[in-house]
Parts: sequence; structure tokens; C-alpha cells
Amino acid sequence: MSKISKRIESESVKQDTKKNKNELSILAVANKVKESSKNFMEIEEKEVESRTGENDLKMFKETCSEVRRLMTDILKLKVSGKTDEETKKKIMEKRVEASLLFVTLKKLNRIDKLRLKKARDTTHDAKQRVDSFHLQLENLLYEVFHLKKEVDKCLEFKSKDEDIELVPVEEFYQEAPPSISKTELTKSNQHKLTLARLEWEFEQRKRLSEQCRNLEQNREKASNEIAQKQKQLESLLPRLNSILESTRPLQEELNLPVERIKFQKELALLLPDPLYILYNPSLQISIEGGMEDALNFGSKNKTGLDEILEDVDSAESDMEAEYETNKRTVTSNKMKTDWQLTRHPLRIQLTVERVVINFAYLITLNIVVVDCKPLQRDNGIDQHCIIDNLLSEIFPNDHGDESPNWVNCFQARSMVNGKINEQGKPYLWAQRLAGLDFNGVVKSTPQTFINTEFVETVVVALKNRINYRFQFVKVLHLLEKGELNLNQDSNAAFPATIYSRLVSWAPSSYEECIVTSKNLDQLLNFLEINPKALMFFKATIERESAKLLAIFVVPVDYPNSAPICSLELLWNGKHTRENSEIIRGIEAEVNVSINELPPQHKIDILIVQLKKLTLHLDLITEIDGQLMKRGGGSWQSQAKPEFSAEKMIPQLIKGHDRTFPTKYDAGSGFFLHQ
Amino acid sequence: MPNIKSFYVTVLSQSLSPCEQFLAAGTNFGNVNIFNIKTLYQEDVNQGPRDLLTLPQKCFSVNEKSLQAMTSSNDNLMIGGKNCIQGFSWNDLVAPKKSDLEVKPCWTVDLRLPTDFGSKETVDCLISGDNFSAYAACGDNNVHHVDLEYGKVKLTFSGHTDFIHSMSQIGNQLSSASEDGTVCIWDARKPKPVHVITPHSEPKLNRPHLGKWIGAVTMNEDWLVCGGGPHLGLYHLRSLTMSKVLLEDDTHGVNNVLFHEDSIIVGVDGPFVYHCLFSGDITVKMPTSALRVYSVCLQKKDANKLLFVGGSGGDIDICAGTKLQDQVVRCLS
Repeated sequence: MSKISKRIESESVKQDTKKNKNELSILAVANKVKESSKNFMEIEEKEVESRTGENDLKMFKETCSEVRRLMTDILKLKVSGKTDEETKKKIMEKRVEASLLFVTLKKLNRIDKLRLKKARDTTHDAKQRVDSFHLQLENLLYEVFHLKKEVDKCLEFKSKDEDIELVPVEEFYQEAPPSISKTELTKSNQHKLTLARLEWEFEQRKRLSEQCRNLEQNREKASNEIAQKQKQLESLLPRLNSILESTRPLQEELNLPVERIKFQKELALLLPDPLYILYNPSLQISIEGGMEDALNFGSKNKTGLDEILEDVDSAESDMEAEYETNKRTVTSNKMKTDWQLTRHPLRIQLTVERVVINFAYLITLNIVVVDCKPLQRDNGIDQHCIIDNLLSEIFPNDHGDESPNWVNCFQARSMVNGKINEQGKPYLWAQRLAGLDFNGVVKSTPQTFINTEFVETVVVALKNRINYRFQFVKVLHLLEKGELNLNQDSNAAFPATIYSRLVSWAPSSYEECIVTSKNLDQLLNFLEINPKALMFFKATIERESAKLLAIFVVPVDYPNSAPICSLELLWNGKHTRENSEIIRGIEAEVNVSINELPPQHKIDILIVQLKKLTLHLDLITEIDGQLMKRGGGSWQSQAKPEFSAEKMIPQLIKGHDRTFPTKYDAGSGFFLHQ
Repeated sequence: MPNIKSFYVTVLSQSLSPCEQFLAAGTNFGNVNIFNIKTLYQEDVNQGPRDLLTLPQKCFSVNEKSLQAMTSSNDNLMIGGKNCIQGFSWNDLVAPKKSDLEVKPCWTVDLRLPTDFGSKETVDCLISGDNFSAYAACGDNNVHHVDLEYGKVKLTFSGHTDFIHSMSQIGNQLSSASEDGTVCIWDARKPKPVHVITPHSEPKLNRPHLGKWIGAVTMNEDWLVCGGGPHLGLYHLRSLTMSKVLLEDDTHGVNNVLFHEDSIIVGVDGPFVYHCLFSGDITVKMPTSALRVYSVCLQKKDANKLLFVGGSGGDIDICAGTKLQDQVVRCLS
């Protein structure tokens, strides 16, 4: 009750205070209230402690049921509908009771709340205590953990000393000096032992590192020396080269082509196989051609070939205007033939007498071609005469016309058109010298074993041929001037005066000669000689109106083979061997009966023959005149013979074939039949 | 490769073996080539290559000078050599085994001709006579009747002034044609000519540009035919008058003439052989391999009667049936 009153008071106080300006009084009141409340609170707290919650709960339930009862009573009364004072008093009593009960309820509530609060406070305190303990515990645990970690760390700690490989203990005791090993101490004490060992290790390592440093230094020094010497050597090479260059004039002076020989040797390594076999330093042989070309040749050849083939293919696959396709096939054919005729850039030059013979190797055709040139350009000597057919028929039937490699000889023949011959002729002896043997199984690489006798044979044959050819050219030169000079012995076989003169002498060709004289053709066919092995000349011998035309066929290996002539006499008619036995006789005399000349004059066979012809012309012109006089039948028909009889001829005609005398007897000066 | 010498071979004389199966040809180089005619005409397959058959079976050298004079009789081949007549046995010549070098004459008869630059020592023409004798016309321009048995000259007929080209004999009569343009008719018993004919004095025969020489003469009982530079003329022997000019159109000189049956075979100084009749008509004009015909030889016994024509150029034509060229053989040298 006091509570309610206090409350009402406070409420009213509060309400009042808002309007009331009397604070002090309020405050005093408040203080009093406070004090009273304080006291009240203490009481209540005690109550709380004294009573339990269950009791309060019981009380609460009782109170509530009381209230309920009262309420129901009130209700009943209200419902009964009696509005009398009694009821109203009853109601009021009940209400007051109810309200008082409310006070109990409130008190209970308050106590309950206090209890709760207290409980809470105690729990809170306990909790706080617990928390603090907990916290302590945590801290301690944490510390423990930390310490444990530290301990672990410490335990895990590997000191560097364990990494160091130490010598085994026994060895240590053996090696270490006593100052370090301190045997007594260390034997017992592991730590000390380890320390000692470490110390020893340290000592050793120091010592060794000293050594190492020293050695390093030495090495440095040595490598410096080496580098220096290397530099010196390198500088040596250009110096040597410059010395070589400066000695070159000296080499030429002394005829010691040292440098040239070296260069040749280098080139020799780059030669293709067949040419390498051919290359024989004992002969006067040299290699000609560019070194770079030779070096590049291998690689270039393949790519070049591919390019060309591509071009060819692409060109041939185009379907365009006819002119263009024709042009392309021509160029592609040309490219094909060019490719087939590719020549290795290095050539071998062999100098024999005064002629330079070049050997070149055609790679695709796998043959060696030979070309020749005179060494110097002598004035007055016809180069053509020297070179023409010079190497033809050095061995029988070897004209160098066809590719001797039977694999491609047909191919070569069909596309050559003289193109191979521009590079040279593929003679059989050249193939054999280069180790290319086409007779048996064709090997892919040339055989290296060459019969040395064969080389000798070839060189001797070449020399002879060239020598004779040069001599022959001199003879030709004389003949062109019309001189028929012989040595004394040969001259003695002829009478002193011969009126007929060699008027002209000119080189000719097979085709030209065949056209002018089919007699010649007959003769050549009979003899079955290949015109390629022959040189043709036309000569004219004249005696006033009598003109003797001779076609001379000189074989390439003159003077080992004798020349042959075919005659035609233009004098009072055209007389050849067909229609005149006389002319045939002269031909026979000149062609068949060759007197053996001594070797140094062997070259004069042609001159002897020509001289015989002049002599015979003299003879027949005179004899004809004499015959005319005698009525023996003659070519001339005029009254007086053209030529007077000067020669001593015992018998003009002899034999059933009515031949003239052909032999001159130097002793008597008579002209006789055989 | 053939020798150049073979190109200039001239066949100057020919002679058949007695059996007429082998032919000997003498050349201007002084060699004799023996040919086996029988095998040439046999159909036997085993003979061997044809080419070999056309070459001489044997070829040997007799002389250095040309063999102008050759004839056969009694198994002997007689060849006029230098100042002699050499006789070879046909058996030796046809025996195939012997090499060419070993052929030697069986006998030699010296003629004892005067030596004078060698031009008088030759035997220019040779025909065989009776009783193993021969008439040799030599370089001294005389005809010598040589007894071969004794090796002596029986009689010398002189009358020519130049060498003798050809001779012909029938019975007791001998005729010789000479370079001097005369044909002398001899009685075999008398050294002087009985008659002398000069064909070139006949205007119809004379061919001055060819000359006056008489290259060939042949005679039978009634007729004599001769020619050379002048045309071929047919002479009646009794009257010695020229009765006909034969081969008027031919421009060549006459080198050989033969009687054969009814016709006259003429080899000229050109590549022809003519067969003509006594009337002058030409029955055959046969071209020859030879450029000029110098020797004509006829088989007498064989049924075929092969004619062999040789001359300038080493080929000898063999004509069967005396018509045209049938086969050709070649002399080597």
C-alpha cells in the first residue's frame, strides 16, 4: 500500500513537479523517497533470500485464483443485475480486495524480479569470475603453447655445424693435432668433441682454401699466357701471307711456283671424280677455273636444277596461244639441253708441246669432253689448220662425235646440234684416262686404277700428233706460197728443171670436194675412210695451158699415213681417171708408191707427192706432143705440139694398156716405165 | 680397210686352167690372182661367205713389172717375165693349202733379150703354140718362137718397129698387131712377114686422134679382124682387103677381139664389151666394171662358156652365156 501511495505520490509529484517550481521540496521528497525506498529495497532483498521461488509461485497462483474468484463474483453480481447498494458494496469490496490482491501480485512480481535480478547478478558475478579464470587459463595455455613452440623450434634447430661433413671420428683422432683434438676432454664430452672436430674442420678448410686460391692464381696466369701466345699466332698468319706475296716475283724468277702449286692442290680437292683421276701432277697439267664457282657448284647445282625443272613444268602446263607455247617449249628445251650440258666449273689444262688441251667434265652426261687450243697466237700460222681434227683418230675410230656413255648417247645425239662440240669432244681415250669405263657395267664412280702405260701411250700419241701437225702447218704454209722445197736427197730423185708450177694450194672441206668431184667420192668409199679423220685441200698445178687440178686428202695423223689425191687434167679436154689410163697411172704413182723417207723428212711426203705431180704434168704434156707427131693418138690436135720434147724418154708408150713412163732414173736422166 | 693399191689394180692378162675351172689374172703390179670359178657357180651352201668367194684364192707376186703376157697349156701357166718365160704348174697354183709366198715357177726359159733400160727385156704378149712351144712377143719388137722343152728360141719374127699388142695363131699362120700401126701376118716357118696390113691407111678405119696403133688382132681360116686406134676392121684373109668396118659408132680404141661362134667379141678402150656379127650389127653392148677393157678370156670347153672381162680396175666380170655380166670377182693387187 505504501507503494501505491508512493507511486501515486510520485506520479502526482511528477506531474506536479512539471508544473511546480519547487524543486527543493521535490528533491527533499525525492530523497526521502529514496531513502525509504532504499530501506524498502533492503527489506525486500531479505525477503527474496528468505523465500524461494516456488513459494512465490504458489502464492502467485493463489493470488491469481483469488482474483479470478473475485472477478467471477463481481461478474456474477453484475450479471445478476442487481444494482443495489449491497451488491455495489460487495462489488466494491471485492474490487478493493482485488486491488489489494493486485498489490500482492505486484509485490510478487517485484520480488520475482528482484530475485531474478539477484540471480542474474550472482550468475553475472560468477560468470565474471569464471571468465577471468578462463582468461587466465587461456593466457597460460597460450604461454604454454608458445613455450612449447619455442622448445620445438629449439629442438628442431639444425645448426650449421651439422651440415658440414666432418671427417669420421677415428680419422679425426688420427689426423688432428693434439691441440685441437684434446683427446681426453673430447672423448668424454660429445659437445667438446664436436667442437673440436669443427675446429679441425675449420682449420683444414682454411688451409685448403689457401691452396685453392694459389692454384687459381696460377691458372689465371697460365691462361693469360695462352691467350697472349694465341694472339701472336693469329697475327702470324697474315704476316706469312704477306711474305708469300712478296716472294711471288722471286718465285717467278727462280721458276719455283710454290704458291701456285699449293693453290693447285687446293683446287685439286674440289675437282669432280673423273677429273681428279685425270689430274696427274707429273704431267704439265694445271687446273683452271674459279674456286668459288667450284665450291658453290655442289649446292647451286641442285637448286638450279630444281628451279629449271619447275620452270619447265610450269611452262609446259600452260595452255596459251600457240606462239607462246612454242616459244616456251623452245626455251624449256634450251633449258633442258643447257641443264644436260652443265659442266663442272673446274677444268684441267694439259700442255703438250705448243697446244693446250682442256678437259672438262659434263656432270649430267657423265662424260669428259676435250677441247684444244694452240698455246700462242703465232702469226702466219692458220689456227684453224692446227686445231681442226687435231685430236681426231688418235686411236682408231675415235672421232669424238658421240657420247661414249651408252646410257645417254642417244639422248646426247638427239639434242646436241653441235652444242656438245662447243664444249669439246668426248674422245674415248679421255674417258679412259678419267677412269670412266663404259664398256662393261657402268659404275657410278669412276675407277681409280688407270693403266699407267695407257697414260704414257696417250701422252706420246698426243705429242706426236701435235708435233707432226705443227710441222705440217709449216709445210702448208710453204705450199700456199707455191714452194716445193725438199731436202737434198729427196730433190735428187727429181730432174733439175720442172716447168710445171704449183699455182695454188687451198684448204677445203669434205662437202665442197664431194660436190666438185665425184671421183673423190668413189675413192673414199673404196677406202672406207671416215671423212672426219681427213683434211681436204685443193691444189692447182699449171704448165702454160695445161691445168692439173688435184684434190688432196690428208689424213689427220699425217705423216704416219700418206695423203691421197684425185686428179683432173684440163688440157685439150677434161681428163680424169675415168676416161684416161694416163691420169689413172699418175694417180697410182702418186698415191701408191711412196718411197720411205728418213724420219726427219717424213713430213715432206706431201711435198714429194706434189713434186711428182708437177713432174708428171711435164711428162705427159711433152709425150702427148711427141705422140701426136708420131701418130700415136694424142689429146692435142693442132699441127705443132705445145711443148717441145726436152726429156729423154726411150720409149713413149709401153704395154697393152699403153702407159706412159712414170719413173725417173736420176742416174741416167731417163724416164722409164717401171 | 682396203689398201689403196687395190684401187689402182689393172688386169692385163688372163688365163684359164686346162680344166677351165680356175682363172689366173695377171695385174699391172706384177701379181697373179687365182680364182676358183667352180665354187663361184656352185649352189653349195657350205662354201662360206659370198664375199670371200669373189676374192682370189691365191695371190702371189711374179714380177715387179706388169704382167702383160700370160697363157696356159699342158697344165702349165706360162708367164712372160723379165727376159724369160716362167712356167708354173697349175696343180701348184690351185692347191689351196700352200701360202702365197711359196709359189715358185716350175721352169724358166731365158730369152736372152738385149738389155736396154729394161724396155727391151719384157715379154709383151704370149700365146702357146704346138708341141710345147710358145710365141713370145718381146720388147725388142720381135716375136720369138720358143721351144719350151729345150728352152731355146726356134725362130725370131722381126718386122715390127714398135711393141706388139696382141697375136693370133691358126695353123701355120701367125698374126701380130703392133703399136706401130701394122698387122703382120707371118708364116710360122719364115722370119719375115708374109703380109703387112696397115689399117690406119684405110680412110674408113683411120682415127687420127686415137692414133694408129693396133691393139687387137684375131683370125680364123677366112677372116682377120683387127683394131686399135683405127676402127675395128674385118679383113678377108685371102685377099687381104678390108671388107667391113665394125663398130663404126664406137669412139673408143679397140683393145681385145675374139671370135666366138658366129660373132665377134670386142673389148674396147672404154667400159664396154661388144658382141657383133660379121655383118657389123651389134648384138650385145655390155657395160663392164672395168673402165677400159684390157683382157678378155673365154671358156672353150664348158657348156656355159663363161666370158671373163678384165681391165682397168681390179674387178673381173664373169658373163654367162656370153651375154651380160653375171658375177664379179675382184683382184687384190
